[in-house]
Amino acid sequence: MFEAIHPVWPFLIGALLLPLLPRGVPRAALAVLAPVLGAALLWALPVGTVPGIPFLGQELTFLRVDRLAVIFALIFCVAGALAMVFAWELDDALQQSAALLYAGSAVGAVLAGDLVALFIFWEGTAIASVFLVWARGTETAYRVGMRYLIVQITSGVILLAGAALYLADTGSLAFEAMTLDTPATWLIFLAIGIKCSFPLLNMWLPDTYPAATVTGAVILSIFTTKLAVYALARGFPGADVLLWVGAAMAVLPIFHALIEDDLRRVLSYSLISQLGFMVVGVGIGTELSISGSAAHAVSGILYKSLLFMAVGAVLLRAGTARASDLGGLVRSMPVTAGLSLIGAASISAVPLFTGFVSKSLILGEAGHEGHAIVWAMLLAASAGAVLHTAIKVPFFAFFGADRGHRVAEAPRPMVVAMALTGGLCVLIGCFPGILYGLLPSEVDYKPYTVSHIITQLQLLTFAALAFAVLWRLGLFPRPKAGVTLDFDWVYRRVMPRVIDGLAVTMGASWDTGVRLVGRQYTLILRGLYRHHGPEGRIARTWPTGAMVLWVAVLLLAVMLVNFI
Amino acid sequence: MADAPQTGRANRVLIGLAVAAAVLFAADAFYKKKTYLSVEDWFGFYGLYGFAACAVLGLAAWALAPLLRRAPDYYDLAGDPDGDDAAPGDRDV
Repeated sequence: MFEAIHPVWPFLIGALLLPLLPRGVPRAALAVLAPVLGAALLWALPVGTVPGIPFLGQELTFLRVDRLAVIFALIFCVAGALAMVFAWELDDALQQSAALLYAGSAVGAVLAGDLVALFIFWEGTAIASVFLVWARGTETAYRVGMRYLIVQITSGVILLAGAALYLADTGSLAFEAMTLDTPATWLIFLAIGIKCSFPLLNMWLPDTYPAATVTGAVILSIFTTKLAVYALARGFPGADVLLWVGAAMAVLPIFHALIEDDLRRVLSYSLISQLGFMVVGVGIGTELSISGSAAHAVSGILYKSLLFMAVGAVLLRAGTARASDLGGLVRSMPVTAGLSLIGAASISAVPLFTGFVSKSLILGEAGHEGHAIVWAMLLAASAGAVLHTAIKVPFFAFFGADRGHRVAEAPRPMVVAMALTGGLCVLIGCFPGILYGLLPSEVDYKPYTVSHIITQLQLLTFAALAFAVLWRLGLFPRPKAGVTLDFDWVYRRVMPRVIDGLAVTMGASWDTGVRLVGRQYTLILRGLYRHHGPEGRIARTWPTGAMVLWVAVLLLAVMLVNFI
Repeated sequence: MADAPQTGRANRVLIGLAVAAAVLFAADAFYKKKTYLSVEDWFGFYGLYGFAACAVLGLAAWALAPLLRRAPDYYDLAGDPDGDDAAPGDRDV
C-alpha cells in the first residue's frame, strides 16, 4: 500500500499558520521549517503514483513520484528554505505566506500527475507570487504586478483550454509526453512557453523580477521558469522546435543584459539566457540531455538565487541596484562581494563550480547529436555569460570606480543564506556525483577531464580578455540610467498610442457622423413639421361652410355625370 | 574619463589576461582533445571562438545601446523608476 503525505502540506499549513504567530523569530523559523519539512516528506516518498480523486469521470492525480519530479521538487524545497533564511529578518507576514504558497504550488505542480492538477498549482504559483511584487508598495510595482498577473493567468487559461481539448482528443488528462500535432498539444506547449519565457513571450520576466521586493526577486527567480522547464521535459521531450527556441533564448537576451543599467534586470535577462540551455537540453531529447536540463536547472536555481541575493543586499544597503550609481562596494560589503564571485564563477561554468558540471552535459549532448549550429549558439551564450553576468555584475557593483557608498555589510541572515547557497555551488562543482545521482537517468559522464578543463578555461579566459579589450577601447556599453526598449515597448508604448489614436480618430469620426446624420434628421423633421405640424398645410383647419359647399359641388358633379 | 590609476590597473589586468590566454592557447599542443564536432579540433578553437563571440556580442550591444536606451521616465512614470531604487517594501528586511 502506498502510504504518503504530500510534501505540499507543510507549505500550505505553514502559510496559514504564519500570520498567527508572533512576529520575528517564530515566523521566520516557520518559513524556513516548512520547505525543510517538505523536502523531508519528499525524500520519504516511495516511487509511484498515489490513486487520484474522482473528478468528472476522470481521476485527479496529485502525487506522481518519479526521478524527474523529485529532482525539481527537491531543489524547489532546498532553494525555498535558503531564500527564507535570506528573508529571516523580513517583518511582513504577507510576503512570507505568499512565498510559502508560491513554493508549495511549484512543488505541487511538479508532483501533479494530470493536467487539471497541474493547472490548479500552475495558477497557484501565479496568484501567490504577485504579492511578492505588490509588497514593494510603489505605483510601478502595482502596475508591473497587474501586467505579470495578466500574463500568468493567461498562461493558466491556455493550459486549461489545451487540457480540455486534449481530453476530448484522447479521453485522458494524464500529463505524459505528447507530440505537437494537435491544437490541444500546441495550446499546452504555448502555456508552458509563456512561463518558460520563450522569445516574444518573455517580457514579463525582466519586467517583474526587478520590480519585486529584495527577497521577492530571489524567490521569483527560483520557481516559475524552472517549473516550466520541468513541464517541457515531462510533456515535450525531443520536440525539435525546442532546439531553436532554446538557442534563441540563450543568445538574444545577452544584448539587453549587456546594455541594461539595473543589475536585477541584467540578472533577469541572464536567467532567460540560462533557461535557453535547459530548453535545448529538452529539445535534444536524449536521456542524458534531459538529465542535463534537470542538472542545469538545479545549478541555475542555486547560482541565480545567490546573485539575486547579492544584488538584493546591495539594493537594501546602498538603496539602488543601478550599475551607473554603484561601484567600489567591496570596501563596505566584502563578504557579499566575495560570495557574489562564487555565483559569477558558477554561471560562467568555471571548473570546481556548479555550472561546469551541468552546462557541459547539454553542450556535450548537442555536439554528440550533431546539432552544430545550436551547439555554436550555446557556446557563444556560454562565453557571453562571462561578460553580462560574471564580470558585469560584480565589476559594476563591487569592484568598479568607487561611487562613495559607505554602507554596512549585508545583514547576517542574508550573509548566511548566501554562504550556504555558495557552499552548495562549490559542493556540487567539486563533487558532481551528488547531483548526478539524483538526475532522472543514470549519468555516465566525467566532467573533470584534461580536455574539458583546458577548453573551458580557454573559453573563459579569452572571453574575459575580449571584455578587457573592449572596455579599454571604450567599446563596451557603459552603464547609464534609463530604460532599455524591448518587446514590451509594443504593449507599453505602441499599443496604448495606437489605442489612443484610434480612440481620438473614432471619436472624431463618430462626432462627424452624428453631426451629419443629425443635420439630415433635423431637415426631415423640419419638413414634416412644416407640412404636418400645427401650422402645416395638411394639418390646417378648414371652415365648416366651405366644407359643405365643396361637398355640394362634388355631389352636383356626380349627379351631372350620372345623368349625362 | 577614467583616471590614471584606473587606467594603469586596467592595463595590468589586460596584460595579465593576455598572458594567461596565450599560455592556455599554447596548451592545446600538449593534450589530446576530446571532440564531437570537427571544428573543435582546430588549434585553440575554444579560445578563439570565445574571444570572437564576446567581441561580437559586446560590440553589437555597444552599437545597439544608443538605439535602445530611453530616459528613466519614458514609460510615463516620472519619479517612480522601474524597480531599481529601494522602496518601502524593501525596508522591511
